[in-house]
Amino acid sequence: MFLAPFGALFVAMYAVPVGYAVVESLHKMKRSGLGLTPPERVWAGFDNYRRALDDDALWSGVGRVLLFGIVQVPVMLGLALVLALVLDSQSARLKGLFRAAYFLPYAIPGVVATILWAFLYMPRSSPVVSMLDGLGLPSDFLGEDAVLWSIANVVTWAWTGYNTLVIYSALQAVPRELFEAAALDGCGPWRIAWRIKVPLVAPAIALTTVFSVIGTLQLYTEPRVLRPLTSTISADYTPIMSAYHQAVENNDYGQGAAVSVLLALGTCVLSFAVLKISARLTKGRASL
Amino acid sequence: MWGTTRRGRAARRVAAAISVAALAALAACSSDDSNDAKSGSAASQSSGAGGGKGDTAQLEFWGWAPGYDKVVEAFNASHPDVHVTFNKIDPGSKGGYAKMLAAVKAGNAPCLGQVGYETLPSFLVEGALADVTKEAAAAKAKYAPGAWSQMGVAGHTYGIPVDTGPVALFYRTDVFQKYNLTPPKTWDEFAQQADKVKAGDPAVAYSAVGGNDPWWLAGMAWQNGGSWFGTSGDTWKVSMTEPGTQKAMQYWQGLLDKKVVAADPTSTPDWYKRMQDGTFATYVGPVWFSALLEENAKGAAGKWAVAPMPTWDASSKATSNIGGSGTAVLKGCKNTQAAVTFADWMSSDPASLATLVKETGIYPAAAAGADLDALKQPSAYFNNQKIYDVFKESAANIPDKWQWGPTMTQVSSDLTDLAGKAASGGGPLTGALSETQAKTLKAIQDKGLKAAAG
Repeated sequence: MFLAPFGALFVAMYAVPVGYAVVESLHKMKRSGLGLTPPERVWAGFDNYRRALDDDALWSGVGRVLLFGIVQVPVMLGLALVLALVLDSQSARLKGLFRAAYFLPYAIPGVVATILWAFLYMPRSSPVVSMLDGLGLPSDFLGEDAVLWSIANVVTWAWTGYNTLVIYSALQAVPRELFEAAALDGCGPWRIAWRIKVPLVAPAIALTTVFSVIGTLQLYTEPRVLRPLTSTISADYTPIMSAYHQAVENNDYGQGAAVSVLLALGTCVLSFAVLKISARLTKGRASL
Repeated sequence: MWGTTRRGRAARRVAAAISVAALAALAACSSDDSNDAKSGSAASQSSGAGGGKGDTAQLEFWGWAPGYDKVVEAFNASHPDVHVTFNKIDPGSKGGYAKMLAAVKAGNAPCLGQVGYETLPSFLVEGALADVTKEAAAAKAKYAPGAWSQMGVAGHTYGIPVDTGPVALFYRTDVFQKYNLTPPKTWDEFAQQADKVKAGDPAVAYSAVGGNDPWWLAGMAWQNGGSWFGTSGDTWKVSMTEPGTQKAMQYWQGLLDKKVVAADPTSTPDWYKRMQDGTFATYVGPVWFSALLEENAKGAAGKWAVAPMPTWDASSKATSNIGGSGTAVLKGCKNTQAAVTFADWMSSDPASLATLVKETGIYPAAAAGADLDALKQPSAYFNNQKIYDVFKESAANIPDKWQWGPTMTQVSSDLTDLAGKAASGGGPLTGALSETQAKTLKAIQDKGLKAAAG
């Protein structure tokens, strides 16, 4: 009875759309000849899935976001952890100001953030590029090799503060007596941070890791906004872009839905794997 | 830009994994959602004569070009028997097309829609167009043949053309003066001048190549009289490697290899900066580029001029076309005759054209359009040159064989990726085109249609 409002919303906002995507992914449009007569929607079985799995571009998109995740997520979370520890340390001043400053990029919509960075990346308008040129360091932030890391930079800029606050909140919940006791036992601030604070916020770090992994697989906004500025970002650069490309640009909703369902399954598996691994690691730390 | 929720709030995140699928589903029906409010009225309005207003036929018209609303008002004032309701939607590639296609699927589409020439065949194979060959036959003589053929496939007509994009050569008078050049008449001359400018100042690119602009590349091929697409019986023919295209692509590749022209991504702030500061000396572009140039390179006022598009040999007059759109009659329209009457009036009535030239900045597809007063005025930005004289001449010499294919959004994005890479040093443009052709054949066949190279 009390579940009814939740149940209704869950079905309307969640189960129905997912179900619709699955149904769409099992259908295709049937046409003939030149297509002068209107197309018919017919059952396709797993045709769309087979085509998606055969698509090299989708696989290179997957490889790209995995590479992105392996490098960007640890860098971002490492940075977030350090910032959180600094904020939490007794000697830090102006905590409120720094907290707000770290969090600010998160408040800026992804599209806007990417446009801001785009102006720093563009070869001719960017003050950064011309400054580096002046120092004898010619750089092309939108070039073939650099563009993925330019995107990583935008993502890191936007999300480090958010992750910092999650970890910082976890640190705030740790009883202060623990630190005093450790200090009495002769622990310095470094040892307290490493041996006490980090293990105690491990669950928060695990949580931010899972969110970041999911976010990485859903990479879309930043490459989409940068795409018109460079020929190095293709229409199916990331898996989500690939789904959009199929559904909207190629007008093949069945195919787009199949890519989305595959991606959802992949994300599920990966998130659970990360959760399991981090749960095991956390346990290991705690029992030390 | 929907689907941009890359990362959300912590609480919602756990569910995010599976909701990717939901995202796609939402995307699939998002265009329906925005129509819901309108669908009721659309259905009742397109139900044709005999509605609430006595014998007045009710038509709905969706488009995005500024000025269309004014033309519709004028039409309603002068035509008591037909009432058109104009609804402004997002530009086609920004969601307008998806919205129209969704409305057709849902059975509540408007009678008329603004559709770019390149998109018309895609609408056809989605089953979104009404065949108005009979209703439109009488209007045919009023339009440039090249534009008229753009609104049809395989002898069937699906609407009335509105505007075309005759191509000309935009050039910097200051750079041309410095090197003592006059606008090149042929592509040979164009290449010689490119060498000269490069020798004089390596920072200046003689021309900007639209390497990542599929419509520009098509425009260069169009001049040679061939076509990337065609139909033969019940089969789509794809020929992006036809001789005329090869010739044009090899020519531009040659200039790229010598680095006398530049293939910067087009229409970016950086690109317009070069248009403004004089490091692009020329650009081969369509009539509507004049408005973009004026808007995005204000500081270069008085420095640009327009000359006829160079030709392959001095005796040829063939030019080209980039862009242009028409008013298509959509599937489900109950009163196709009234729809054609309005579309024809909008595209050929002198008063309507005057409004469209002034408000929309179009170059009319109707032959009568060339004599409009508005197209005889000097342009202040172009140092008071009467630039439309050049475009009028160009419009009369556009080869009329060109035909678009049924999967142009796919062609456009594949060609953007492949030719963009090729032009910025990744290999020959001809290779990008043959690779795009292979992908296009597959895409057409994936739709269940017949396609063959040739």
